[in-house]
Parts: sequence; structure tokens; C-alpha cells
Amino acid sequence: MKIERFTLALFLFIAGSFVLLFSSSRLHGADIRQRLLCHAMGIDVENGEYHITAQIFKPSQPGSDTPVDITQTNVEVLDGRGGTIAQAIADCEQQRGKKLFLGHLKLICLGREVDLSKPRELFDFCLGDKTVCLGTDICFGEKKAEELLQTHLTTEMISTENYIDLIDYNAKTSRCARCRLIDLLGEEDGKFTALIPVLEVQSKGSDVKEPVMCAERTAVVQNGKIARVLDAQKDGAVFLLLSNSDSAVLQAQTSGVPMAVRIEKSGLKRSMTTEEGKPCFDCRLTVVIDTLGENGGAAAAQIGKRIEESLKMAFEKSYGGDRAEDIFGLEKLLRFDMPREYLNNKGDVQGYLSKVKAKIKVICMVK
Amino acid sequence: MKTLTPLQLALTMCCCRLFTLLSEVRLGDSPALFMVSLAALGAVEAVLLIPCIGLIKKTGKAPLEFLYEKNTVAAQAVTVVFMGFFLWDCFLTSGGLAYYLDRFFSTDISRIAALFCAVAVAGYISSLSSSSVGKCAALAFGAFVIFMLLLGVNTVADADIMGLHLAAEHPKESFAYNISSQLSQSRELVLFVFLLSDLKQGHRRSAALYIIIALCMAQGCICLAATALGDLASATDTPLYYLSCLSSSGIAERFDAGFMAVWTALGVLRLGIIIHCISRCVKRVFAPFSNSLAAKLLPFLPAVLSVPILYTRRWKMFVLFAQPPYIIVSIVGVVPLVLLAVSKRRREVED
Repeated sequence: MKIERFTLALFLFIAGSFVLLFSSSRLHGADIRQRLLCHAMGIDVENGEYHITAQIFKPSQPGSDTPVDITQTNVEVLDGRGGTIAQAIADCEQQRGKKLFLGHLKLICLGREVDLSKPRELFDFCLGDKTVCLGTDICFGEKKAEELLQTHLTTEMISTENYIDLIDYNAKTSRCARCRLIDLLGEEDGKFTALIPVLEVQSKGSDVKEPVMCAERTAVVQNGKIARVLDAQKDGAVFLLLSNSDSAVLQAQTSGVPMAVRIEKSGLKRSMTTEEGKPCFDCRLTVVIDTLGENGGAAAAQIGKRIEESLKMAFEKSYGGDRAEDIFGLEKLLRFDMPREYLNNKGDVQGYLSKVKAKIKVICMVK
Repeated sequence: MKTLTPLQLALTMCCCRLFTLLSEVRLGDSPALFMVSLAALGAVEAVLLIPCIGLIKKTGKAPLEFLYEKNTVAAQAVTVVFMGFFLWDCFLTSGGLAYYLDRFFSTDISRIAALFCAVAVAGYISSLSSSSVGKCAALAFGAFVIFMLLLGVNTVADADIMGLHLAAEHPKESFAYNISSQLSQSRELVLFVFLLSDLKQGHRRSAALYIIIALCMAQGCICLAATALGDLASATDTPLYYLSCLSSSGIAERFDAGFMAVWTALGVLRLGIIIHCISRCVKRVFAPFSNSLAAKLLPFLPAVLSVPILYTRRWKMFVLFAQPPYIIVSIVGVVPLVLLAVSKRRREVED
């Protein structure tokens, strides 16, 4: 018994020594001071090579007591170029002699020229780097991603939080769509339609201290390129059918008086069936409005009809041509509801969906 | 010494199963079809365990114990088969633990050091009594359940039921392949049959609990991964790891650290149980030499053999999916069935 205990103790001592010796991070570790904490990354394509713009956290210290001055932007911008994104990132790192840490990456902004036909190849640097969060938001810049990332805002502790809050709020209020890294990584190469918000910088006069951001447009990406852009004012009803949206603000007119009405999404039922051999999209959207006065019922009926017409028009525009722009995600709905039909038409789903008929019904109730 | 309760044994085996599930699982084209395959696999496992449970009910002894009473040579041969299987399982588990630790997490620890730490802890676990291991397993299982509940709560907003579609190009072939590949990964069935001798009673209940709990946990995990990750769940072979990367809450931005803790605990527990079983086999087969240093070090030999493969980064050659499940079916189903037939015949002859 004593010998067994001694053997066990000796074994544990040797094991513990090895643990201390080989698992010490001094051998391989990187100090945080040797890292560049990247919060946002812009990807542009110029002259056949990638141009990366990285917003790096750089605390502005007003004094010795406060580590971070929240009235400042607390960022600096690095840029790098290379034949691939990984090479461009390496270029950024070489400028400072520090490694870029992507664990805090919250936003990836793409320039208009970026080809999204092979998203897994494009974002391979994210998959290879296990620190990147799959929920990272994706957006387009107005023209170049660099212009967006050179704009620094001070409302939150870091600039990127402003962009994320803007996209999040606008997505919830049906003013734009929301696209995350995981939405693109799951797509098969080239054969997908994605809705990606467009972040724009609007400067409103020289007396404004800080530039104003706007996210009221959404790019429809088809076959890796931007096919068209949806506008919140004209196409706002489209976003009501997306999972991110909860509410919207629409204008109604009752007794000749225009009024803004806030609507909340109450329920959404979607299904795909076939009718006379053609696919049929059945959609039933229930919304609730809150109005004062006696004209609530009339306003509800008007708003319900308006949303329905708007959705039908958007449907016709997207699915009416030879190749469908699947902005409503009907391919996944088809795969779920009618897997056999989906598999029979898997080679040309966009062509199959261009024949789809829509039955859209909007029910608007007063709270 | 019979010290395990039926629930502890079931939870111990569930922990072993969940480690494999968390490490690597291929959902194929259709996650919903994979879930149906898992349910069918549960039925197959239940059928495989019927002869063993029947033998215990009839004779009151586990297969190896029964065989040792009847024919020592045959019993030694079967014990060697068990030991060989456990050594292979130890090799796969220890190497897999080091490989996936390096693959999942950007750690600063080398694969060899990770393997050494895991084997050291597993060696300690193997020296504990069965009831202590059972209690450790219950704690690890509880931690796993809490972790999955947290993941579920944080990703339910992103979940889309359309991720659970049935659009598989070759559904029958996919169904059969899923069952075959998952059965070949269910190496803990052999551990279960071996450890049944540690139960005083409740063998049937333990088998039922193991199959039901493992099935429920696996179905819940796959459902969550498929609905939250969408098509990425089918495109990757580590969906649960990516699910932990995606989950975020107001407190934690991501849960892969929690995944690492739970996964490592389950892996080390599984390795400890395998080493414990190998030690018991060694004591039976090499009884005169069971106190020698060679006998004590034999259970760690597979981990040592995995070092050169890990060092040369060729671990993927040993990936588990292509292995046919015949060996598991033979050890878990055929051997107890033969023993049951033998015990019935003997009873008829005596009568």
C-alpha cells in the first residue's frame, strides 16, 4: 500500500512538473501588448488586389486615473494590401510589428467591387482564425469600405458600436436587413441571394460636430454581385417579412390628414405549396397598430391594404423575371415544406422560383 | 466490487457518448434525417443489448463473469478481445483529445503537452473507485446540461426551424450511412457491457436510461445546432463547436471557453474509464504480473503511440467515420447472444 501510494505520488509529481514546464505560455504565448485589437474591418478590391482597412482599439487617456476617455473615438485605422485578404492582414501586422487579434471583430464592411460569389473562400481568414465570432455583422459601404472605417464616432466607447447599434435598430424597425457572417458562410458558392445593409455617411453641414450615419438602404446580392438596392422609404414593407424585424413606422392618411403610425409585427405564417404544377407562396402577416381617436379602424384597413400592395409589388419585381431574386428566402422555405420538389429542381432553383405565385394576406388590427 | 448505481453507470456512458458528439459529427445533407437516424440507432442499440441483459437476468452474472465460471480459456480470450478494443479506444480518445484541443482553440500548449496532461488526469481518475467515477460523471453530465441550456437560451432567437429539412438526395443511403457511422462511434457500448458487472441490480434500467438519456441529449444538441447554424451545420464536421462560438449573451460574447471546459471534462472522464477498464483486463489476463510496472504502464501505451502521429500532424488519417461497426456489434451483441444460448442449452441438459 505504501509503495503504491509512493508510486502514485511520484507519478503525480512528475506529471505536475511536466505540466508546469510545457504548458507555460512563456514558451508560445503572445502578450496583449503585442496584439492589435481589431473591432471593424473594411475589405475593398483595387487593381486586382485586396485593400484591408482595420479599425484598431487605441485608448485615449485623459489622465492617469481613467484608462479610456469615452469622449474620444479610441480607435486608429491601419490599412494593408495584398493578393489575398490574409496577405493584406499580414501587411497590416508588419506595419506595427504586432499580431492582429480578430476576437473582438464586430463588423466587416465590404466595398462595392468585392465579389461575393464564393463567400467561404472570401471569409476563409475568419474560419481559419478560431477567434472570429460567427455573429459578426456584414455591411456594404456607400462606395468603398475605407470611407466608412475612416469615419470615427464618439457616441459609444468605440466607433464600431455605433455602427452595430444603427444596423440593429434599423433592422428591428424594418428599415434595413441584417446580415451576419454565418448567413454567408452557410451558402453554397454563387447560388444564393443575400440582403446586406448599406451604411452611409451623411454630413449635414459644417456646424455639425460629428458625421451622421445612415442605414436605410439594403443591397440585394445575387450571384456574388449587387443586383439592386432596396430603399426603406419605398420598400420598407419587404423587411417586415424578415425575421429580424419587430416593428415599422408607416404613413397613413385618414380624413385627408397624414399621420405616422407605428406598427408592430404580431405574427407571420409562410408556406410553400403547389398549385396546377406551379409553386405557390402563401403568406399571412398580422400586424398591430396603436392609434388614438375614432379613425383607428379606417387607418388599420388602409395600412393593411398598403402593406399588402407593397409586398405584392416587391414580390412581382423580385420573382417576376427569368431569374428570381430570392429576397424572401423562398428557397429555404421550399426545401423545408416540399423537399421532393426542391430536390427535383435543385439545379435551377432560381428559375423554378421565377414561376412562383404569391398569395399574400395582411391583417392589421388596432391595439 | 459492485458499487455503481444504474443511473451512475448510465450517466457515465452518456458522458462518453457526448464527448464523441461534441468532438465531431457529420449531419449530412439533411439534419432532420440525421435525427431520425439517431432515433433508429437508439432502437438498434437496445436490440444489441438485449442478449446481454437477458444473460444477466437469467444467470445473475455479466458476460465475462459467467464465462469465467464456465471456461477459463474462452474467458481469457474474450478478455483479450475486450482489452484490445479498449486499447484501440484509448488510442483514439487520447489522440482525439489532443488533436481537437489544438484544432478548436488557439492555445499555447503543444499537442504533446495537452496529451500528457489529459492522460495524467485520466490516470488519476482510473485509480478511483467505481462509485467515485460515477459521481464525477454525474457532475460532468450536470455541467453539460447547464451548458447546453445556456447555449439554447442564447441562440433561440436566431433559431430557424427551416434548418431541420428533409431534403436529402439519397435518403435511404444517407439513413443507412448515418446509422452505420454513428454505431461505429458508439464505442462506449463495449464499456457498458464490461462495466455491467459493477452493478448489483437494475441492469435493464441502466441500459434503458443510457439509451434514452443519450438519445435525448444528442437530439437536443443536433436540433439546436441545425436550427441556429442553418446550412453551416451540414457544411462543417464540428457544428457544436461553431454553435458555442455563435452564442452570445449580455454577459459573455461567446461560449467556446465553456465548450472547452465541458468537452475536456467529458474527454478526460472517458479516457479515465477506458484506462480503468484496461487495468482490470490486464489484471485478469496477466494475473501473475498484474503488480509489475509493465502491467501498470500498459494502459498508457496507446496514448504514447499516438504521440508520433500527432507530432507529424497525421491524426486525420485515423478519423473514425470509415470504421465499420462489426466489432462493436460482435462484442456487444454476438458474444452475449452465444453465451445466452449456451446457458439455455446447459439448463435444458440439466433439466
